[in-house]
Amino acid sequence: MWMKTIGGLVGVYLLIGLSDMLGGRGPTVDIVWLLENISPYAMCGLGVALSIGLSVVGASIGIYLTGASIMGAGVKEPRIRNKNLISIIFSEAVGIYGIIVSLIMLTNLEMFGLEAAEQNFAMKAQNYMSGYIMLGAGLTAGIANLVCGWAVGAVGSGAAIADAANPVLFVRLLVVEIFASAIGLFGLIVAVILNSKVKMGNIV
Amino acid sequence: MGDTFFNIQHGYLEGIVRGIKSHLLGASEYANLSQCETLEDLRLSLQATDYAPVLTADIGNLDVRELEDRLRTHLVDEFNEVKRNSSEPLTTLLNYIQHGHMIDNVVMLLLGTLSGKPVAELVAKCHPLGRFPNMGTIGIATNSSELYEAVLIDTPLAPYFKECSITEEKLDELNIEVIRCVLYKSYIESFYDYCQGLGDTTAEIMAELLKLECDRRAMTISLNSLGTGLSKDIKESLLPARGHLHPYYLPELAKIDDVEQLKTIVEGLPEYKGIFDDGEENLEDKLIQKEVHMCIDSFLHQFHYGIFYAIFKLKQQEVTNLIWIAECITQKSRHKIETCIPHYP
Repeated sequence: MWMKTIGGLVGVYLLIGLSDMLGGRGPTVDIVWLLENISPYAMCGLGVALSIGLSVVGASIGIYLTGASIMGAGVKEPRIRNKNLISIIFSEAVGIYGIIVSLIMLTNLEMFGLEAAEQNFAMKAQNYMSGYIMLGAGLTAGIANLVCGWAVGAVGSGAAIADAANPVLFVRLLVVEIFASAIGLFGLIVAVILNSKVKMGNIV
Repeated sequence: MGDTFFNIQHGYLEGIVRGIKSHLLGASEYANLSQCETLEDLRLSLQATDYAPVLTADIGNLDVRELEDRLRTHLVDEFNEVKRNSSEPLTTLLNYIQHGHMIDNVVMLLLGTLSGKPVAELVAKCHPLGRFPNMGTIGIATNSSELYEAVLIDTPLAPYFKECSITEEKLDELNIEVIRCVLYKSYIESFYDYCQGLGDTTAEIMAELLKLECDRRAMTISLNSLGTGLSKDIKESLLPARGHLHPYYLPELAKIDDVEQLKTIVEGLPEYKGIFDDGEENLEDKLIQKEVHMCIDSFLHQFHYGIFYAIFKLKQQEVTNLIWIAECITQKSRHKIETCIPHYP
């Protein structure tokens, strides 16, 4: 279904482009023009939204995968319920990574004068770069956290069931879970370093 | 991908089912049970297991019948608990499990009424997993068209009856067995196709389990039909066509004249190689043992529907085992206990 949607959008874009080109309005089909006219603020906003949004989706996948199994396995073995809350905490941490990245990006977001930017090319470049960096950082953190939450959830669900069957296994599976949880940290670190390059505002 | 969303609907039930599985009786419990001298001892030994609540001390006089009743009720309660909490496609899979028992019940009722037993007594004997409304009315059927139109048309078994030749011929023992085979064949084939439609791990696990079931039916039918005078074509049409024996070995299986020929055919398949090697137990026990192992193995995968089929197979086998032990105790032949229990890890 996704492929069809994407294919449809590309098809519509190509049709419009072709009709413009054949109708003598060629220069309006201009990707550079499109990119230049997207405001850096839009990029910032998109970055923040993607980072927090995808992270929360990852965290929720992790929590439901784990939570459903803990509830079910806890019916016959109630002792697992306290220990396995740690899997829920790991999933929740994934959401927190997303918040951290979003907050850092929001503190870096500054107003800049569009008029001044048109006069000063270095300043314009600086602000546009910041916009793209924030989009990139948001995507990095968001996607990393999405798959991290997924992995933590799947392992956590297995851990709950394994713990119910044999208590010795819990500590071993916890190690696996910690490694899964580290995937999200990679995304967080890269996003934070990317954000240190951001410099917005009326500065050169 | 599909695995990930399994837990939204079925994660809770999977947890419960795995809980039930880890509470199945193990080797040490069986060792204890086989030491029991009386049924009262048996009841006490079961106090430490999942069966404690169903075997409370208030049963005055515990006999095998009562024990069987209570164990089965317990099994059905667990089944219903899972089924009530289930959502599609699991509900359909659980329905399929029930349909198998319904077929057995219908055939038992038909055979019972044929030999003139009272219907009420027969209905009480039916497996509770396969109960359906209006079971008592089955006794009125004298031929297969009446059976279909009066009783089965309102039950979930109606679609399976399509392939049965609906005749006005009077129902006799052979007819009823043929009806059972046809119903079961179309049931198990439809079950197999349904599971393949679910795809992923479910298809993989259920294929192995149901193929074994098909092959077991095929072997049993071809053995039981020896000397009944059924023609080879009819015989072949009764064998479920989904197992490992399908398609190359089924015609051969329909042609056999004795057990040795069956053994030669079955041994030729890699899946059943060496199954007759020690030659002590009978074929049925061997296949049950194989099935139990496969059911246990299916728990090694997560996020699939096969465990729901497997757990109720295992549970039923456990109930059968307990009843067998109880029978052995009451008939003072305890040496038989060990020989007939499939081994649990």
